[in-house]
Amino acid sequence: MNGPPPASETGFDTALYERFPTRGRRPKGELERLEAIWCAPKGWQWITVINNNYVGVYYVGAAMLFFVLAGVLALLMRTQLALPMQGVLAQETYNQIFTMHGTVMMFLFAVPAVEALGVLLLPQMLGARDLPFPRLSAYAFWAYLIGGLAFFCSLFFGLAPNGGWFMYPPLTSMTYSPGINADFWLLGIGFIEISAIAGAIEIIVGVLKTRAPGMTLDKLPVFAWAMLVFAGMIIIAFPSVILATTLLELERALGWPFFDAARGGDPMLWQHLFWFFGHPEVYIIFLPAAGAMSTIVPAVARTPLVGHWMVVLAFLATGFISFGVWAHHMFTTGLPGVSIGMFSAASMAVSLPAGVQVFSWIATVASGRMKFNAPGLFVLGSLLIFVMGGLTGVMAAMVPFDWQAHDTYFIVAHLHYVLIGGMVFPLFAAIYYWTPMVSARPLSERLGRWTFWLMFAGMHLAFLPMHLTGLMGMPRRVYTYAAGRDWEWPNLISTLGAFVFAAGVLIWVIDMIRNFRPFGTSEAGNVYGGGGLEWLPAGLYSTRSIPVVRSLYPLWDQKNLARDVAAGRYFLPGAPTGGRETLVTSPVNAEPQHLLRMPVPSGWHVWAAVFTAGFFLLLTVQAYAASVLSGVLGIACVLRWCWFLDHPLPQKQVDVGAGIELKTYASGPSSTGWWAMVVTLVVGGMVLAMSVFSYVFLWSRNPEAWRPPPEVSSLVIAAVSASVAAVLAWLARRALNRPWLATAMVLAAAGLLVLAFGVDLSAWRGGGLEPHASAQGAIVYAILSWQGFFVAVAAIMGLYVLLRRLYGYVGPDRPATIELVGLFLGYTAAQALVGLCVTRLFPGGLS
Amino acid sequence: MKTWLSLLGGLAVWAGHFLAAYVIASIAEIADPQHRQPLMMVFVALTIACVLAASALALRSWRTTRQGVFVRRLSAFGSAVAAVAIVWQSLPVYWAR
Ligand code: HEM
Ligand SMILES: [Cu+2]
Repeated sequence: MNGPPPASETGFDTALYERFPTRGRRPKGELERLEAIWCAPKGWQWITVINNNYVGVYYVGAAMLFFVLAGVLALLMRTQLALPMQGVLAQETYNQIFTMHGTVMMFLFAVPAVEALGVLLLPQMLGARDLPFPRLSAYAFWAYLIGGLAFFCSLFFGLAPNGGWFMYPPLTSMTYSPGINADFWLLGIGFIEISAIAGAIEIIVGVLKTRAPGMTLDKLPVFAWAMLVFAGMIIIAFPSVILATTLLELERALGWPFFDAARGGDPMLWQHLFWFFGHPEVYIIFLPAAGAMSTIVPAVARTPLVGHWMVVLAFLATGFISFGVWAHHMFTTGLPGVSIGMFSAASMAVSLPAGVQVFSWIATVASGRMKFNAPGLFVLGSLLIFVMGGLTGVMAAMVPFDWQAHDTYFIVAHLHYVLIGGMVFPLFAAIYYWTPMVSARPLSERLGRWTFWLMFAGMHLAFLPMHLTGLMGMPRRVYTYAAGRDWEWPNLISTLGAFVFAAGVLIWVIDMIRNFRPFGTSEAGNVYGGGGLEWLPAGLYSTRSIPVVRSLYPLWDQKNLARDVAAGRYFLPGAPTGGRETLVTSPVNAEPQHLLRMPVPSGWHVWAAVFTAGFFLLLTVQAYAASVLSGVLGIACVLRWCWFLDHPLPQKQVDVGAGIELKTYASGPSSTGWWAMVVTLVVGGMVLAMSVFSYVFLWSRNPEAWRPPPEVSSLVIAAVSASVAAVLAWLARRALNRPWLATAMVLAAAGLLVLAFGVDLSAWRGGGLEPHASAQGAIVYAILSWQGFFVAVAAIMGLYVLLRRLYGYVGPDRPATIELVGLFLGYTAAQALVGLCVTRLFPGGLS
Repeated sequence: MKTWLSLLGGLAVWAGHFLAAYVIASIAEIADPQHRQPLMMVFVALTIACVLAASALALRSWRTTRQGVFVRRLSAFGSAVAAVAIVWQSLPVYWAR
């Protein structure tokens, strides 16, 4: 299968790569200038810092904090269950604790931990100075930390949610959960998902657009592939849970009956929405861990990954198939037989890609010379545990078996085997493996072994007996059990195992305290002999120069790479524009496209995070006025943060090394901002798609109860205004030579969107449809609210553009802002049209 | 863009087929029993079309000369696997008839 080399993607002449490594000395003071530009923070700057070397470490640290906190909750539960009829935890407390344990582990530990690993590692792995939106990752981190801590503290006030980590209504409806406990979950988790999405956008754009030149798709590190698929899955899956939490919160706060069967809703809607997110969530957690495994295994076995392309294909296939299995969590709910068959078939198929990965790792280990150091041990342990969890998973995918095991301790055992084998052990392998990259000292091998063996033994002691207790009939989520059913021994052993596991984690914490020394001027370096760019000598600016990548394992295959990179003989040896910057490359072949000027630290993103967290928390405790105030302040901070973007530099074009000139300003699909906006709009589109699903679903439950839509004239007016708005938004970008005209077009488009929304809303209100009276009312007003939110943002954007025009910041030399606002307005118009068509024409307009 | 299409095209066809199968199964559930037969025909036609599309994509990506080996392999195998998966997930529908 050899052919001519692939054609150039962007028109960049790849023969220019031959100019590197350059010869001759670099000018004096160049390195010092680079160091000054990427200087370390002082004082308050430790909080406003946006360099990934810092934010990444904070981020991983926070995730591990939540791991320990949720682990303490697990110990409390196991203490209560050690013996029959214990009184350590009261029933209600137990409910809160298992809910918090599951929720914190899944939402505050597992997803953020791997996202954090991405923020920390990706820039170095890809050879970028930093990811393209460092403030966005810092924002995501602060929002997560503040929101997560506040959420956790609800436990101390007895206000923690208690409905289980998947929060099924009707148990979580106002009738059965009258306190604000459930609201903490809904608003807290909804909010944290937003921060996860922000991180995902950063990762997608980073992996696609800020790679070292020459890093074509076949040379893209496996971890980066995994992170790319991971982030893509977040973009598709998380909108579903955001919608679900919003709907349930609307039902609880305003009485809109989405899930209340008495008023035409259906609790099954929650299950669909939740598991459309929830199952992919499991793979979302595994993928980066698998990516880390696929990086660490070759390093400890000292040989390239066997079947590299198959592993990548397995990632992609997992990404797709995992969206076709959500209903296997609902086998016991009476779904139609045909659908059950399909979901069962897909559930069995989804284990194939996992199998491919496992075989690839085993083959790699077998073909190399495996070293049983700490990362190596964790890798092997992970394999073993994960395979065992996978086997019980295949068992549970068989529908008749699931009918028996559903909601017993068998499932608890299964889920911990896969989660601990598939995510916790790989994460610890990653921590041991990559610590030398950020810390002046590696972690201790001796303590690492202790950690591993305690965790490994404790894990089996704790969870192996649970298979048995489950098959003997012990249901999950019970706070105690009666003696005399033979459940005593397995439970006691489980508790013992949990404490052994915890001892392992404790030793790791001690190891971290003794040896983890980040943020210094020196690093321990490549102690495990990895082959990726992250092991190049680096400072706060990442590598001194950005290499041309010619291999999947550049450090193994490219001679003298480290020396030449450190000597500044590759791309971007200095800072040609005098500020923080990185190369932007093309998504497939990583050909250099332009130079991206990056922001310097300022406090606005931190304040934005504080106020967005404040908005959601105050909403939870029903302090509505304060909440709105906090929201407004949050928006102001975001606008302030955007204000400094999109200013062309005096140097239109600069030399990025070896006489290669690149532009310093970009807009359109070659720019990072365009990609970020498009991905953001995909999120919006997914929420819309899931709302339409909910609409059709609710209708199909109860078609007779749906009333006809309001008169047609309002539909026509709204549709025409939205369409004109879309055209204007598109034209504005083309009218930039006359800045006032372009501004006016944006304003007019935003105004028309407001008009379309107002006309639609008042028509429904005139027609007498009440949101709290029926499921139709609830879902129609939910779709309207979603549109209203976009219209409000569109209006703010319009005013923002006006303000920029007044300052002279709108013109043909800086099309990006207008272009991105135009994209947003265009999307909002399209969303209006979809919403109109669905709510007005289906099913009423058809009859 | 072309690269991404060939990389993800087959899998996307699979996803589309899954979605369609789910929708058709759900419609069949609430539809008149007399409409089941035509729905089944639609489903069979759709399945054949999707299998053909995925196979064609597999062949095309294998043969193309514009891409490197890695992308070609990935696209070709991805689409081929998708074709098999489409057949696999249709089986329960035929059996459950
Ligand atoms: C050794 C450490 C751990 C122990 C001893 C432990 C213990 C437990 C126990 C006893 C339960 C069952 C509560 C019940 O049904 O009454 C549980 C549930 C759960 N655990 Fe863990 N766990 C551990 C680690 C983890 C990890 C690492 C994760 C995820 C990454 C996790 C996720 C969950 C989830 C999602 C549930 C279900 C909660 C629910 O029913 O709503 N656990 N855990
Ligand atoms: Cu699942």
